Amino acid sequence: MHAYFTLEDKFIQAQQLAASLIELAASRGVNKDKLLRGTGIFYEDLSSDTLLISADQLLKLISKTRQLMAGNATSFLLGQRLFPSNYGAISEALFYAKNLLDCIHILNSYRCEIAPLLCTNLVWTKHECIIQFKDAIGCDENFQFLLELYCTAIHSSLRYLSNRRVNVAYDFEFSQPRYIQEYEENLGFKINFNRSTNQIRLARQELVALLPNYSQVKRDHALHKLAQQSRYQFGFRERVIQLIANNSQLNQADIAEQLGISNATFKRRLKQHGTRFLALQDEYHRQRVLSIHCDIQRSNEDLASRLGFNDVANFRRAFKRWFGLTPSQFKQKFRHG
Amino acid sequence: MSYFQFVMGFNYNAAGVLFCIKWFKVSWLSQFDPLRLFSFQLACSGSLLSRSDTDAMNFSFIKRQLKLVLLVATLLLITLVSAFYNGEFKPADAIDWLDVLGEGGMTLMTGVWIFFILASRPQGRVTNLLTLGLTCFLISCSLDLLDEFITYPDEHFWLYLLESIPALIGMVMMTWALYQWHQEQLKLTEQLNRREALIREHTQIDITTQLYSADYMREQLDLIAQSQQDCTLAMFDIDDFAKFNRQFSLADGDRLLREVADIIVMNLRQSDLACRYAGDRFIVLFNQISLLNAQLIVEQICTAIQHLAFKPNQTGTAEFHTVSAGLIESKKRDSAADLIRRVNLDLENKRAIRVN
Repeated sequence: MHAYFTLEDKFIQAQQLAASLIELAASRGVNKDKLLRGTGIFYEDLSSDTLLISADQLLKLISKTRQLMAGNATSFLLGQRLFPSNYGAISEALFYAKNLLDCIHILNSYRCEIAPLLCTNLVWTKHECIIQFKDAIGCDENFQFLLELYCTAIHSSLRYLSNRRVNVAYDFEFSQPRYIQEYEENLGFKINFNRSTNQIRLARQELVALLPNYSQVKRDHALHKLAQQSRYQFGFRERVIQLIANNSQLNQADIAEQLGISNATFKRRLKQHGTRFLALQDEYHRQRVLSIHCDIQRSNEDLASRLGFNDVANFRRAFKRWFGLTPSQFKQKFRHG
Repeated sequence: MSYFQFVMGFNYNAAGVLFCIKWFKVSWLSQFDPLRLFSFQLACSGSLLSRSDTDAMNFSFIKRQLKLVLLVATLLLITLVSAFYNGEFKPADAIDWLDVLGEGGMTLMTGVWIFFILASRPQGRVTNLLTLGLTCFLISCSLDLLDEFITYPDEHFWLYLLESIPALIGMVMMTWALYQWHQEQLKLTEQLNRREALIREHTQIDITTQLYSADYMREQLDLIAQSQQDCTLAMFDIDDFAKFNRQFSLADGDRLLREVADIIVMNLRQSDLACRYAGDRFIVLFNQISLLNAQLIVEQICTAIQHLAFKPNQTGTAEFHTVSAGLIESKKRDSAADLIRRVNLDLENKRAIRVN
C-alpha cells in the first residue's frame, strides 16, 4: 500500500471514468482526436485493460470534454452510466452487498479507485449518515463537475441496487446554478445550495434493509480479490492535511520530513497541486470546525479552546480567515446546515 | 500590355479574391491547422451533414451547391480576365491605398456573404436569387477595386460603364429574393408551431429532441407573468427511463426521447408550446385553456406514449413505456421558478399515487 499519490502518478485505470467520458463524448458527435489532444492519452491504448493515467491527465480530459460538449447535462449523463458496471471487483462487491450501509462502506474504502480526484469523509449523526466531499488533488474549476458526476452516480446506483427511490438530501457550497433542472432530474428535490460543505445526507433507517441481490459468498469473494491489489489511500493534499491533523504543531519542514521528501520538493509539489502550506493548515482547521459544529451549537470560548486557541480574539481572527465570516455570522448562516 | 504583366497581375489578384479556387491549392500548407481542416473537409464533402462535425463549419455544401459555386466562380473569372486583358497597370505611386482598403473590404465581405448563403441555405429559388444578386454586386465591387490598380484605354471604355450596372441589377434581385424569403419564413413558422413561441433563439435548442430547452420555457413563463396572463403548465416524465438507458444504449435512449417529443408535439393544439425540461422530462405550456381541457390533452398524450411500440436497435422487439404527468394552473404573476416547482411537485405526487 502506498502512502499517497500526486497529480503525476499514473494509477487511475483508463477503462473506468476516462473511457466512459470518451465514449459519451463520441456518441454526442465530439471528434476523438480533438478531445484527446494535449491529454497525453492515445485512443489506440484505451482498448488495453491495463492502461493507467494520472490525475493530471484525467483532469485535462475532463476540461476538454466540458469545452467540446455543449450543454450542462454531461456530468449527469456520465454519472448515470458510471455505476455499477465499470469497476470490476468493486462493482461486484457493490452488486452483492448486504444493504446500502454496506455499499457506502465499500464505496468509501475504495474511493481512490472510484473517485480519485475527490476525498470523502463519513460522518454519523443520530439520524443521518453523511458523506462529505473535498478536493483531493486540486481540481479547481472541475470540482463542481466532479461533484455533479459522483452525486448522480451514487444516487442512481443506490436506487438501482435497492430497486426503489432512496431518500437522499444534498448540500452544496456553491450557489444554485441556472441548470437547476438537471439537479432535480438526477438528484431529486432535496437540494440546498450555499451551504458550509459539500455533502450527501442519507437517513440511517433507510440503509439497513436487505438488498435484493445480496449474496454473502459473492460479496466476500469480490472483497477478497480487491484486498490483494495494492492501492493508494490518499491524495497528496489529503495526506498533508492528515499529517497536520496528527500533530498540528508541525511546521512545513517537519511535514516534508514525514513525507520523506526535501523541503524544496515539498514546496514544488504544493505549488503543482495549486496550494500552499498555510492554505492546507487553514483547510484542516475549517474541517475541524465543521466536524465539531455538526452536532451541537457551541459557544465561541468552547470552540476556541477545543481548537487549541488560548485567546478568543485570536480565534475570531483565524476563523474569519478560514470562512470569510466571524463565528457568530457563521452560526447564523448555517444554523440549519 | 505584355503577357508577363498579365500573368503577374492575375496571380497577384487571384490570391486575394478567388479564394474558392485557392482552396484546392492549399493542401501543401498542411502544418497550418484551419487550412488542413479545409482541404480535408473538401475531400470528404460527400456526406451532407456528418454527425461528427455538428458544431464545426461544414463544407459539404460545395458539392451540393456545385452549379451555383461554378457559376459564381465563372462570372468572377470572366470579369477578372476581361479587366486584365484590356487594362494597363498604374504606377505604384498613383494608387490610393485608402480606396483600396475600402473597396477591397467590401469585395471581401460580399464574398463572405455569398459563402454563408451557400453554406446555410438549402437549394431552391430563394437561394439562387440571393446568390446571383450578391454575385452581381460582387462583380461591381471587384471592378471598382481593380480600377485602383488598372487603367483602361479611354474614359468611355465599356468596363467603366459596366462598373455600376451589375450592382443595381444585383440589388433588385436581392430585394425580390428577400421578399420571397419572407414568404418562405411564414410557411416555416407555421411548421414550427408548437415547438417555438414568438422568440427565436437557436442557442437554446436541445440537440437531442429538437425542442427548446428549459431556459427558453422559463423566459416564456416570465413573459407571461409580466403580461399578467393565465396559463396552464404540464410536465411529463417517462417512467423507468434510467433503467431503459442502462439496458439499451445511449443512442436508443436519445431516439426514444426524440420520438416521445414528436408524440407530445403531435397531440398539442397550435397555440401550445412543448420544451424539453431535463433528461426524460418534458414541459408543455397551454395558452388560454380550461383545466378540464388541458387535463384531457395530458391524458391523450399519456395514452399515445403508452401505445408507442419502440424498437431498440439491439433487440428489435417492442418496448412500451408509461409516463407520469403533472398539471397546474398559474395564478397571476407566479414566477417561472415557482410554476415549475409546483408542476414538478404535482408530478411527483401523481406518480406516488400511481405507483401505490
